[in-house]
Amino acid sequence: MADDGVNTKVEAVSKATTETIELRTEDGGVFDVDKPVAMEFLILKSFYEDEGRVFDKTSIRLPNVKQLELSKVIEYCTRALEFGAKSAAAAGDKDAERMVRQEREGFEAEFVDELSNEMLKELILAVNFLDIKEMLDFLIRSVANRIRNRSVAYVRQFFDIENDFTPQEEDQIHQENAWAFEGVDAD
Amino acid sequence: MDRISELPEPILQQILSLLPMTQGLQTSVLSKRWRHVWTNFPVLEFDRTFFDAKFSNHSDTRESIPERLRKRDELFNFAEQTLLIYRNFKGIRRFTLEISFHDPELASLFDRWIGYLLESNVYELKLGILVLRNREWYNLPGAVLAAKSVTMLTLSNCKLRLPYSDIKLLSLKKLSLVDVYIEDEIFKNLVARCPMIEDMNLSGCCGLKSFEVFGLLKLKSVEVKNNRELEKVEMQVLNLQSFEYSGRYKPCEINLAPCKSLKTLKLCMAAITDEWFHDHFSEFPLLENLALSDCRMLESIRISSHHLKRLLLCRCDFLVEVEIDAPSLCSFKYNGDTIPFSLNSPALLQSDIHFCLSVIDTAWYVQMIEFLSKFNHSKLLTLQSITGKNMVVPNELRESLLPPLYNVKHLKLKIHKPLMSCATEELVDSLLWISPHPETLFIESGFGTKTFKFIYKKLTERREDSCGCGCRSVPIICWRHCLQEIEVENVSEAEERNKLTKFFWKNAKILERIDGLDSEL
Repeated sequence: MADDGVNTKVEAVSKATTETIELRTEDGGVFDVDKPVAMEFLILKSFYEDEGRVFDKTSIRLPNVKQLELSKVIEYCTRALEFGAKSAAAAGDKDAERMVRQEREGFEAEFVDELSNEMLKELILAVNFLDIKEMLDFLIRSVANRIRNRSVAYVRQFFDIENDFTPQEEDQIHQENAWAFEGVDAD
Repeated sequence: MDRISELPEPILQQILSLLPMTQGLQTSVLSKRWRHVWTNFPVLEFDRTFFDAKFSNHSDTRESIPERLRKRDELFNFAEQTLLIYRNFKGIRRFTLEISFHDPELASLFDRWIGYLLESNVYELKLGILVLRNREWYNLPGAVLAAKSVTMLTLSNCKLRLPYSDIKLLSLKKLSLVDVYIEDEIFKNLVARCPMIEDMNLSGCCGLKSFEVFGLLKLKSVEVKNNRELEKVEMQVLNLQSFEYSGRYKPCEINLAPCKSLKTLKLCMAAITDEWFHDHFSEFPLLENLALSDCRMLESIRISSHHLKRLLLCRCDFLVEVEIDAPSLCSFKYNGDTIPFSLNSPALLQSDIHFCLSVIDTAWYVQMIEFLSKFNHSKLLTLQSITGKNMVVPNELRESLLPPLYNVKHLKLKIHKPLMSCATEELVDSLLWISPHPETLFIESGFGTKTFKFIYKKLTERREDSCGCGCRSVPIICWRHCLQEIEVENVSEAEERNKLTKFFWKNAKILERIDGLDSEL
């Protein structure tokens, strides 16, 4: 948790000298992000492609994103780009492709293991805002994994969904699809 | 606060698409928003889990047959109702129907469903409709082969038979036919009318005698495996990158020569001759991966290639000689006899060698050691053995022969039947003769991997004292003279630990420490 007014500059550099873009989160974090990684955020890409390269290091404020989330996003996107490059290099060789795939699966499993349910949800919201398709697909798969075959009550609590049906309406839905709700009470 | 429900519909639907259908349906009770999301949901999967879960094997319920039939009808009703709702819905992302049935009357029901389905512009279609009656097939409605929106089509267990009016799959990218009955005419038409196709898989099919593909500029990957009546394979595909064939030893005419962009070629149980192989191989200048397994007509192989990176030669039981000139080769896997072998592969990183069953006598050991010496420059070498016994080189031979793998850094022995294997210290003793100065030694089996990590002292000059291991003839200093420390992992049995400890202390002259073989644990 960052204190207000304290700037923690985080260098997210993977190669030697690449152009970077400065991103500022709503809770005071400042990140220098490699341009190729930042361009994965489609919300930023359109900004750059409209305006052209105006300044070397423009600073952009991201109102809906917090430090913790952004650092995770940068981590994932940086690795995703690396895997993409490895995959392209292995094209046509099924064994090498499989190895890259396995390596990627290993990284993703570890990455998601460390996320609490809350964090996973926050990341989905952040990544949806930043418009990063690949990472969003990954997070959605991870959420589905966590709620698969769980009871309705569990899913409701997981997403914190408010029930806005009247008891009669709810009953009706149950009746219409009785077979789907058989034996579902226990978690 | 629930902000997830505010996300755009496609995202929530994407989550639903990854859940079993019944759970998806249950979400409609969560809130009005979720009900709305489910009602517009474009993925339908009536597969094993859908049907089995509901009307097959519940051990805790004793249902009578009428009860089972009632449930089945309920499910079928639900499926049909849903399909009717989606009939006019643009772009169902994915539809799966996998079912097996006895009752021939059900066929018309499935025909009708497929009809509704095709009206909804499905993208990914998976149909596996198996009739549980001997020699009877479900006849696939011809309209499936004219579905203009389909990008991925997987068909199993059904029959594609004339007459079909109009075959046209203009969006198809990936085609998979598994255990299907398909006639030559239909396949020919099919292949001619899917211009966007990238990936084709034909496995276990009957009826098809000739697999001929021309043009198809986007086709990159083809798999043709275990098709029962296939007699001819003819590929004229310029951009093809990967071709895998498995033939059950049946004679089959194969012509791939026009596929100049081929990078991966895998042939298994193929009746190909030396002549065929050499003629074809020279047609693929870009080939990087080659796998030949169970090709019993091959006797002599000569490979010369600049691009070849990976090579697999397994169980081509009648091979008598192999010559390989491949400067880019980095991975090699072999399963066969100790035949004369010539290898030029300076970039070799890993090798995997499995000597097939044979009479193990002195002559065999001499040949085996000669064979292994060709792989001396491989960084990692894996030896596969059923019991490990054939890797224990007799002592008499150790005195007269040169250790074959003195440059190999990492040596691994994989034992398939560990319960019948010989003692670990016997194996370690022999492996350390075969490779006298390794960095790591692994003995792997179903019970785990025993790891030995060796740390040596840098000796400035050769010790001249004899140690009876014939190491003077080898250009490196053998472990007995310079091994200082050993780190061991996963050696668990007490007797094993004792024997190994004794072995190392007895033989390693400047040994200071062994980690991991302590008797107390």
